[in-house]
Amino acid sequence: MQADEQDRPLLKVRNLRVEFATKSNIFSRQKSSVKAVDGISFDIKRGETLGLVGESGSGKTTAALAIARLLEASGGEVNLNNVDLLQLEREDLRQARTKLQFIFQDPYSSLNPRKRAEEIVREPLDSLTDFDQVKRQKIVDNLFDSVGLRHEQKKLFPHQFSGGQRQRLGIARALSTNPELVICDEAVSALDVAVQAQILNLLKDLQANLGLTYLFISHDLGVVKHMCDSVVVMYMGKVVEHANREQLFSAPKHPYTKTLLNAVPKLDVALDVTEVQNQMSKSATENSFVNGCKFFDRCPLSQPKCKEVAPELGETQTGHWVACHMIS
Amino acid sequence: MVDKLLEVKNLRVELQTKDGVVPVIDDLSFDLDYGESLSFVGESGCGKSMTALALMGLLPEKVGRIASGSIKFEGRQLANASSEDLRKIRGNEISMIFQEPMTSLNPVLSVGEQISEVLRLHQKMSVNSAWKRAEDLLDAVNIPDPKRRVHDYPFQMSGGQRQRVMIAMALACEPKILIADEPTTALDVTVQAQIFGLLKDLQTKTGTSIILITHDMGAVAQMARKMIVMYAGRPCEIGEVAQVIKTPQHPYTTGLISCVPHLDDAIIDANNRLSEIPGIVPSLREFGSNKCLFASRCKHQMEQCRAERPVLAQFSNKQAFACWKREIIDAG
Amino acid sequence: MMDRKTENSEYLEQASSPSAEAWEMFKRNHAAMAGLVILFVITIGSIFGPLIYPTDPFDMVWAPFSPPGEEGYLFGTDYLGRDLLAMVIHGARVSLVIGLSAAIVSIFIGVTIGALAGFYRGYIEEILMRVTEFFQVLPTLLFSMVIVALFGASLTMITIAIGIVSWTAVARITRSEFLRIRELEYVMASRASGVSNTKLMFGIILPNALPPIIVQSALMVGSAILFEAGLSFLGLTDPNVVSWGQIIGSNRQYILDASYTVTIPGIAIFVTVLAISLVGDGLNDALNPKLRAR
Repeated sequence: MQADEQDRPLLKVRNLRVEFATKSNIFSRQKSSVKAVDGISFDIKRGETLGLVGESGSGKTTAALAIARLLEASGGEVNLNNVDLLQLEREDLRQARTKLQFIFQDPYSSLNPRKRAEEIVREPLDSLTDFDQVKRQKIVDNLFDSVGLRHEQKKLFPHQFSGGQRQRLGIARALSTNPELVICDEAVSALDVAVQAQILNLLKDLQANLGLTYLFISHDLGVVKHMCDSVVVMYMGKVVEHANREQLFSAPKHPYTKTLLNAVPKLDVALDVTEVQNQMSKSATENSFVNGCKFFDRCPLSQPKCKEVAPELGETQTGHWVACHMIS
Repeated sequence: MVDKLLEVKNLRVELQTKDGVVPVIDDLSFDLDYGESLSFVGESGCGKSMTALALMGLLPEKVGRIASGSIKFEGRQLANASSEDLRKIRGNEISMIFQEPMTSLNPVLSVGEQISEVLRLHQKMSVNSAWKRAEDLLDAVNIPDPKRRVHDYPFQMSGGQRQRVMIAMALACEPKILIADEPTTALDVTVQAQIFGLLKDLQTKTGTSIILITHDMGAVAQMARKMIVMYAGRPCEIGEVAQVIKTPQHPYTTGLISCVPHLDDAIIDANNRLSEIPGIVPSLREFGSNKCLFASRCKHQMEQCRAERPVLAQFSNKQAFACWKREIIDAG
Repeated sequence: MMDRKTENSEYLEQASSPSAEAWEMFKRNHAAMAGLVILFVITIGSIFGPLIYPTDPFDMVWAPFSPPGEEGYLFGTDYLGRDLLAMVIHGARVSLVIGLSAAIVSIFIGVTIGALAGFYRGYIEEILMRVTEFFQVLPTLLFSMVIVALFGASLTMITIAIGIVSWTAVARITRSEFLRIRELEYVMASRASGVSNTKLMFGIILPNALPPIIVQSALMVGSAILFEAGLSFLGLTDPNVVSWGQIIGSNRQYILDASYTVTIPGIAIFVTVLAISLVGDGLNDALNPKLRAR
């Protein structure tokens, strides 16, 4: 691989939007919509991990599903290797899917209970590739080795595995077509802490061995800090801050990012809950129709301007983007 | 001598399973003082929730029972109390909040009705005064505009608000002990911080003792003064939180702390690995055997661990743990 | 609650499939096993009975209305002097075949419509569900009588008529199962793996939606047998074949004088439908993962 190709981002997301139509009531034909993802943009470099964080309702999972074409996007571009995935249809999309795979959150509902382990892992090979039986079998065998499952377990059904083993199966399935980008949607949050560590280590090992690129979605900031090279913080469908790991965790700029980081219980420092409480005591209202900053009503720095004009994502220093009127 | 608020001695809870009777809680002793906060930590399947259910007298009927040991609540024996007596204590003097605030609230009753029902049942309040008190309670758990929200149904509230309602319900009768079983696991971090803040505030105001069940060491550090690490139904380390987190003695405690990436960890380099606890919690069939149940996952394991169950021994005046290899762990 | 998810799977090394586990569960249900045995005996009887007891059910073998046991005719004779035992044995075949094939017809219609409605949503769902509701509110007996009256009382027509009026329950169950399962992550995972819509519907979702459909189908065989009996009782039947309902129908005028001519085929229907219900209940328990104690 050439050097310049190394540096070019593997995934470029530009102005991605996802809207859900909501019917206001059965008598009106008027359609309104909720902007679940409201124009987000970011790049992921080859071989790196980008963390997508935010609270429930921030649109991080919706964005991931739209990037993987598992949900119809309303607009924008998703460039994987300079091919816009959102424009692909049928056969082209099928080919593109081999390069982009998904690891799901729930190890219990993400595996078909009626299929054997090897069938589950082989499914992407069966529907996306034209390899012969022998080759598919060989790939499955290798995958079982690399995710740490035993070959005797190939014939078992999902309910015969523990949670961690099931997540290993989910990882093996995602890796079967030799993808370049793997989207991990809360891949460890349903697991017990000890098992979570095993899976995180496995993901890191696989990345090192196979040169994988991860889009890593999580609500656990400790895990994100451990796993990711750079981090995108989302709030109500918008990117509010985007920086590399060091800057985001040591010098967060957006008030929402600061709030999030403060809220995580630390091992030694007594948590200053009063601060978080004061900021967040106003419940997040349905302010998706507000023109201005979505964080306006919970923000300690908010000014009248914030309510009127939505802040643009701007680069405050190299590689550190923030969307806030009060930060420049 | 004045009775402790709660005194549990050599508690053993047995569960009837397909493979026979297994002790899901095996020789657990601890006590809890007025206004104190205690935390149970461990992976799922280690008996944390079972402990809570045993204290509440809510063990699954016909399947689970307290086999031996005692639970003394202000000198009253709960271990073999009648279900009538337990019902009077439950929700009144000991109450509990659960992990999933959606499924633990009744969807067809308004939150006001649910809170006032508890008050009418235990405190024999009138309909009107119970309703008034429900409003006050919603206010106390920081739900804005309680006069209006008291008529809301659970589905009209956010996850955090529902958990606040659960807390309001649990605190309705000013219980002496509040058991919180993973109260914030289903919630966002900012909401979690608010709930923790709320619980702490209420504790200072009302003097309620709190038993927090969690898998999150950070939550323990924030919320509790004493902690009990449970593994496979047995306590493996007991002590003061600050002490245990600073100098964990049992390999399982050490593992639990270091296998989680904490936000206050320094960023070392790109490829640092987490320290793992290999394997998973043993199956129920192994519970109760006379050996260290953690041995199969422990890097310090030796002959004795597989031959005999380690006893809980005092390490300092603030800490006790159950492991045969006391000395090597000091070394690291 | 102890979390059974963490249960160590090491000892479960034999590959026990969900269906194998359901069968284990079913075997432990005595009532359901009894039902299965009865059903087995009736089925075997309907297949081989005519060989062992070759009397033609249309032959007038003896004086009419001779009570059971007389002259060696175990069940007696009907109003035309035909051997009632031969009629019951031969009738079993027709009743079971009609019950089974009517159930198959309605499962085929119901599953197809339910699957399409649940999978595609939107206007396809709207249209299909309105169609379903239309069939649901039709007076079933009247409608099937009209079909049979219009197209002739052949066995095929009767089967189709019963099938057409009874598929709506299957369609609704299938749709609701599809609506639930299509949102599960493993379906999403299959879509991420590039699986086609047809395969998603019938290869991934349908097998997981089967349990309630199977239960419903089992119960439907029973109700189809009853339905056929009802039509026969009203005379809407092929006069050239004998079924249990038809025996009752043709003897109904004599119900007071020779009640056994109606009671005996009635008992046959009752026992068969009861056995089917027991099996259906057993399947319901066995296929319900929540009841599957582990």
